[in-house]
Amino acid sequence: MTCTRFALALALSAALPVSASAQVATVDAQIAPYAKVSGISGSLSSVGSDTLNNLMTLWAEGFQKEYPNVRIQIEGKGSSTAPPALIAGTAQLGPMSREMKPTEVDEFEKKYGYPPTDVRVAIDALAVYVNKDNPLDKLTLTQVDAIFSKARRCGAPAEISSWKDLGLTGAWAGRPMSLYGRNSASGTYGYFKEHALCNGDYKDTVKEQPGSASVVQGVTADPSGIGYSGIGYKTSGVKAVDLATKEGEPYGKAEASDVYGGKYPLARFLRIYVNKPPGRPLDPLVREFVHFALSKQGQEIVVKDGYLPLLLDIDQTEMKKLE
Amino acid sequence: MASHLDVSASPVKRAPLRASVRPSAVARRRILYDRFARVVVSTGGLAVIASILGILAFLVIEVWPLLTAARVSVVGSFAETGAAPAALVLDPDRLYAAGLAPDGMLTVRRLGDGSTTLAEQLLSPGLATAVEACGAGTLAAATIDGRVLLQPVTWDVSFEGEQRRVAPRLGDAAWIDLDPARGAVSVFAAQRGDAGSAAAGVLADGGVAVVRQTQTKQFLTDALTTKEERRTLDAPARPTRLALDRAQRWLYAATADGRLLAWDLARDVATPTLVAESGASPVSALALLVGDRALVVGHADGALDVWFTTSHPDDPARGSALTRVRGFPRQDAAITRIASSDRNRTFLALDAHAGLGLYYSTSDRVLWRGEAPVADGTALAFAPKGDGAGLAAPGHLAVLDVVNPHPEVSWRALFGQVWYEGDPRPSFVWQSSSGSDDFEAKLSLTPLLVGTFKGTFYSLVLAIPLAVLGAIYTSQFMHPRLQRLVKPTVELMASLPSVVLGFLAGLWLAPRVEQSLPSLVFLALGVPVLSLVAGALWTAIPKALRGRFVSGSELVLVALVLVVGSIGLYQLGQVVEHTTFGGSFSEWLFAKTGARYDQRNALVVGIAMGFAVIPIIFAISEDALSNVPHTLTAGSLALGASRWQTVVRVVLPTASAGIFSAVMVGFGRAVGETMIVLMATGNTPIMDWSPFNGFRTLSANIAVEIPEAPVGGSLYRTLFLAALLLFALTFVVNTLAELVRQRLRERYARL
Repeated sequence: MTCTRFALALALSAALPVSASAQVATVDAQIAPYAKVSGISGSLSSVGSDTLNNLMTLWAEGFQKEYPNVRIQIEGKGSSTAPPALIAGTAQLGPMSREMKPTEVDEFEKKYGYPPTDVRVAIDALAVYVNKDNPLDKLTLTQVDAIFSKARRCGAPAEISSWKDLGLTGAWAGRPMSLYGRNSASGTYGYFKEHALCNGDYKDTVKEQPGSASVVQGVTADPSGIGYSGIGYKTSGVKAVDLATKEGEPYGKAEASDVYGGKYPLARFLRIYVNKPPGRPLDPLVREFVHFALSKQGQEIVVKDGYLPLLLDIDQTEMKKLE
Repeated sequence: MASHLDVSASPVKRAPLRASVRPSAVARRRILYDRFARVVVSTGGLAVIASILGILAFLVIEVWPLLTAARVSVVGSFAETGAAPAALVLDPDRLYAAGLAPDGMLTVRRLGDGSTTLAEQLLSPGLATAVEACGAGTLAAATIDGRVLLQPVTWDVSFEGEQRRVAPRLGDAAWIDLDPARGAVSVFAAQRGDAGSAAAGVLADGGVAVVRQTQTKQFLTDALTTKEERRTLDAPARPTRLALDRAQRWLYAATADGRLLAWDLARDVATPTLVAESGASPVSALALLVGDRALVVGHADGALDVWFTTSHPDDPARGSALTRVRGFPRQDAAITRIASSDRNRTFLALDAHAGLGLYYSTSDRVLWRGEAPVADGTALAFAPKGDGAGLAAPGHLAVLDVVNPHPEVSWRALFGQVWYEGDPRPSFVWQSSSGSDDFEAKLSLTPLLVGTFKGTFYSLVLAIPLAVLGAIYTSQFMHPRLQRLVKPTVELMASLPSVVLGFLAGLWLAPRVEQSLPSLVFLALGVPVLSLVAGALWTAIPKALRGRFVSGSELVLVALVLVVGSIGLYQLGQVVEHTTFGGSFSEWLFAKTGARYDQRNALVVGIAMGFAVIPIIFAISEDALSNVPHTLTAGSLALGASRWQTVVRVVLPTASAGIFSAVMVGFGRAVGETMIVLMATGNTPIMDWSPFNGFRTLSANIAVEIPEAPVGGSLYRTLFLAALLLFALTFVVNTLAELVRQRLRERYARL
């Protein structure tokens, strides 16, 4: 089983057009198109991830084209806002860019008696951005840790606080780094901390922005800026650097081939959490929305928004969770 | 901001006097209107007071549970028939406890009635030398033939309709060969989790062996690759206690001669990476807290310490050391068992005299102390959710309920310096939450208070001189026609939504300030000087020539001088930036002083928030100055004082109470301002008064973090505490302002 999956992943990455410029991921042709069902109406509310905010909005637009009677409200202040909203019942969809913490699951179980259902809906390459004029093009995660964390738990020998420390010369050598990050409500904040900083603490000088777009905007306007955000927020004003786990390992680009090929170290799933009582069907409106997100149309929207679509077998596994 | 509510508009209307109406009827109607107005006004006033008290009461109610004490109580106690388990694990719902006895018998008991639901002889009696519980609900035993058995106990949850059913099941056991020579392993530690399985043990020859079966999971395919690695480590003395972290990176040991050792297993070196003296009393128990950075050390004399690896406070190059960071008050007898929670940095410690204590590392709190329900405890374990514990003793199994709602909050954690895990020294830090539970919450309100005062300071530095001087000029010197234009315009500034100001400051102003900082400094210093020079030039013009100008046209001259001067100063600043600072002031600042220049900083916020505060201070000061009785100024002028002398000696002292209250109201506004600081600073909770850094205020912090705070959690209540603090701050400032104002008013009332 694992063998076939791996072969599939290889085949998929090989099938993608390999070129020097940005690659566009393609949706697996076998992912079924969305089949409309009857009797869907009402209103849906989504509270959660900012990384998924645009994607949720685009899905909602596509979904409303199928069902004009459905009203969808989307709020995206950060993944940590999803569990409280799901628990309180103010939202039926909880988009998150990280997994739920055990304490959050505890709280959910305390209210409902069963854990929430986690549906993976897209793949993100969490990118480290620098200004487009910055000559830097690659970093190791050890260096990323030394830039963003005061604890340096990944084992870097010294702090990196200016561009000179990364070997940049000329005008860049004199510039201090200006760090941009997300606020602690963000799943991206938590994921980056866990996977890039080896769970070490952020420096106090990281400017915490309320959204991914502000991080990218900050790095665009600040030539000595460096920040992290989902790949879906990439603009022409910033550059996503290539990343390697550590010195000596291959560098991966924040692009489809390297993410599917396992070379990009900060690849992650984007998820939607739903409240599904075990043994009972999910609310039809919620079910159809998630079906739509997992359908061919939904995954094409994922590509349109800059993220990477699911592989066929993952898509099918997630579909089964909704039954 | 309703700074000057007009209350004089009472609903009393003048009744038309008509001949046919008798005067007494008019008077009666007036009395009626009067009474009606009094009721309406006083009801309104009382409603305002009541709602403020209501807000205060609400805040206090939300904050109050932070003060509730933790409680440990016995909820069940059962007689145990077989040998007492030496290791225990509980299921997340606290329905079952699985225990492994030194005779190799694994028993799972239902905690509702104490009945045995599963019993299995894992090892034949006499085979096991030591038994431990390790991560992820696994029981482990070391054997006389040099092996370690890892036996996971899993809890299958199923639903029958609404009913939740939990069934215990033994997972696949794993064997780790520690000693190929088949010697007995006495002291050992094991881990089983996402990173794979690992065990470390003390061999018969006193050496330490570590075997790690590391698992790595492929991101997309979930394919597991396992890699086994065996290491032999050198211990300077025979270890009596071992602890292994979940990441299988660090191994800790306590030796019989009073030393603590730590090996970094990522380095291929057999000697301990770090060595420290653990103190006079021998180590009797060792446990890692969640997050695996802090080591709880229990001593034979009842002392309890927390240790972790820290770098040298001044010179990180000198390497790190295992440091005793904090100690808890001593328990009565030797610490025999320590159990740490998986959810936070809470741990339980049991001593030889059946004393039981509940502690929290970060906040340095003894949460609870009492008597254990059974003596001679052989095993102590926290329930996975941290809400209960199990305690086994010969012939007994006790189940404890742990109510521990807000352990991370203490006076010191909120306002004092705390030594956080891995830091070189104690510090004030706000970093409240993260994406994982092993995160150590850092809830110091001090950086936020400093940020609040920093933002207020920089905005008032800008706002007070401009607003007060502006008010003096407008009310005392300006032509009335112009005055009628200027006053409403400035007051209109107050109606600008602060989110717009914050947006402009963050996205438009901040990059411009960065590009032309020296020019701004030149402008700030040069413009007042220029105005004085212009004034001097004006007086130097012969009177005959001056008299030809219409009164007020000197303003045009001043404006001309200012515009031309400002452009000149700006250009001068650019030139200076190029010649002196090498083209970029921020780079020069960093290169010369090491001080960082952040694009979104206190200076930018000072300008934006100053802009928001100016209309408030201006309006109230202007009112106070205009309301100085005309008789006073007229008298002063009649006695021969000049206009300037009249303003300085007569008007200003009389209006000083009003100006003072204007400044205080402005202060209150700046303290509570949220949107501008939220958008125009980086929200960096740092403790630095530099105008070139950002900051985070109490109010912005509440706005940023309240949506993510789980309702009723510690962060939620701490944010309410911040709100209460903000409320108290503005309340105290306003009350003080009012008191001072009253006194000043009394003093100048006789003037």
